[in-house]
Amino acid sequence: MCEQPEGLLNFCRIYNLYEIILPSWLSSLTYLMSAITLAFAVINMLIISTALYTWFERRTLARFQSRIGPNRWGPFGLLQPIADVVKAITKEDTVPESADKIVFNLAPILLLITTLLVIVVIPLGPDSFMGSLNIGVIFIIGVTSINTIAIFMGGWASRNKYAMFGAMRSVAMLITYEIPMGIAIVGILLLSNSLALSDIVMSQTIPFFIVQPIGFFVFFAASIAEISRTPFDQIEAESELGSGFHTEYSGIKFAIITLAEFMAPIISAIIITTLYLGGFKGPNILPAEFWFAIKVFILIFFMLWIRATWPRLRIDQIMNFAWKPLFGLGLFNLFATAIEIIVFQDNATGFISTSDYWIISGINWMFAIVLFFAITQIMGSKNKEKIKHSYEANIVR
Amino acid sequence: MNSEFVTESSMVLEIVFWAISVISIISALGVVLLKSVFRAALSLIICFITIAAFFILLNAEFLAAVQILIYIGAISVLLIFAILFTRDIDIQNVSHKFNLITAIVVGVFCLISIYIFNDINIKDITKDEASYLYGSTVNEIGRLLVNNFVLPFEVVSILLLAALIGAFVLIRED
Repeated sequence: MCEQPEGLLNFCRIYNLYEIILPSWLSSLTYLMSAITLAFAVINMLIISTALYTWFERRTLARFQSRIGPNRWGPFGLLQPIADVVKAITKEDTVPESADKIVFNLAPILLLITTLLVIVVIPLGPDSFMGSLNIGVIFIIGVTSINTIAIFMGGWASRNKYAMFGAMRSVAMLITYEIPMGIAIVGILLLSNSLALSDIVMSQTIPFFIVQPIGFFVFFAASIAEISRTPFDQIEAESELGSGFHTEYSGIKFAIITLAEFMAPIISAIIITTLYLGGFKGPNILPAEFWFAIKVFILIFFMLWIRATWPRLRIDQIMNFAWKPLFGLGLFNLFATAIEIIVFQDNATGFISTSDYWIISGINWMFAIVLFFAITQIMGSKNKEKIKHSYEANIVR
Repeated sequence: MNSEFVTESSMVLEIVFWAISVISIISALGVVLLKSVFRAALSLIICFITIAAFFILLNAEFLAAVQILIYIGAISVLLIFAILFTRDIDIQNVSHKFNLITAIVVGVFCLISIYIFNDINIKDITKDEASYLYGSTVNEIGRLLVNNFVLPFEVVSILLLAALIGAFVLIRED
């Protein structure tokens, strides 16, 4: 028997179920079977929600652009993802003549695996998780950094100039944005005193995006860049690079890459929910897992909104944005948090009380408003000068 | 969890250990023997991953995560970047000539390291004892870094900062 049988997606619950169902001579398989069942359930949950998300994204984008969007198959076009998948699978699967075939075939698989692996450490509810590591946060950063290698593999193995350029650009961008992301996370770790995600969720008596608005902004911007969506979608700048590192992919491999690409917003919304929005916490009206899903949905909609309204940045603007404002803001957030902890920490218990959290968040919001105002002023005035200079130079010529 | 559960999982751990060892050795051989440099780099990444798995088997999760973060996320990416920036690397492959001097140096180094590792009595402390003593390795590593090893820690950080500034000086345009 196994303890703690609560939670919708809990290993012990499934283990106990199998112990009842399976005949006694198969008992040695129980462990393996329950692990596989849990993994199957979670992975399929993610894949189905990704399929629904593609429909949601297309419909919402269409609404933003005064179109209708997919509306033919099923009610409101809800079966469109199935049609897309069938189309992708039945297409001819071409591999370039000079491609490195093994690496070419492995790249999409690696991309999907690294995207899926993140879900392992996320607590979806008080007792719903696949594995509770006490290094959860570092695990997430480490696993997402393997993504870059998958993109490299795809770009290199295609033997295509544009695929290669796309891979190079995106990898440069991914590496750059990992730095502000990491610094923003350290701010949270200082408050929660733990690397385990369940501890981070439990320590959020107030959601951390209220306590650390600057850190939240840095992390949010960096994670949009990490999943390379507009305004940071240099990875497939359609007008410049074909479609980036997956130019040569077709058929089922293209479907896998697209799956990973559309799953990334969900995964990153899940990470942000856990780190900043208080994870599965919420009033007791609904089960914890539902609160989690609602928060993830709100974040996803917000990301979609950004995608629909902002144009793509140039690669130099993207790099500039990472190194100057985001990096600086992240460092400032870290510094401010450290000082606030020294000031407000209760010496006896080592914890910060809820009322002190409210004071800290008040201070941080003031800092945030001042800093954002200053940064927009500085960056804006520089651009104005540049435009003025180029204008004058043209007149002289 | 009862005792039967534990013995079963220790047998599973044994199987996992041998599987990882085999993969590790094969991928390490691949780094040396593969003709394509890019594939050799990928094989090196597999080797790093297996080493991270070894750390997990030894209950050192923090080391495993750092292994993945630094060796795969940073160093391997840097390696691959260097390979991609090298001209015509995908057409011309590296030749494998037998180099006597290298062979001797590597052989001597191997012998010395085997001698040294034989000397250290690693089996003084078993895996279970280690996890019992330290609980979560993260806390213990953090405590050691800011208590006993503050000076080396700070010296290393200054060294890294110097390297960073050096890189900036090298690539500065003027």
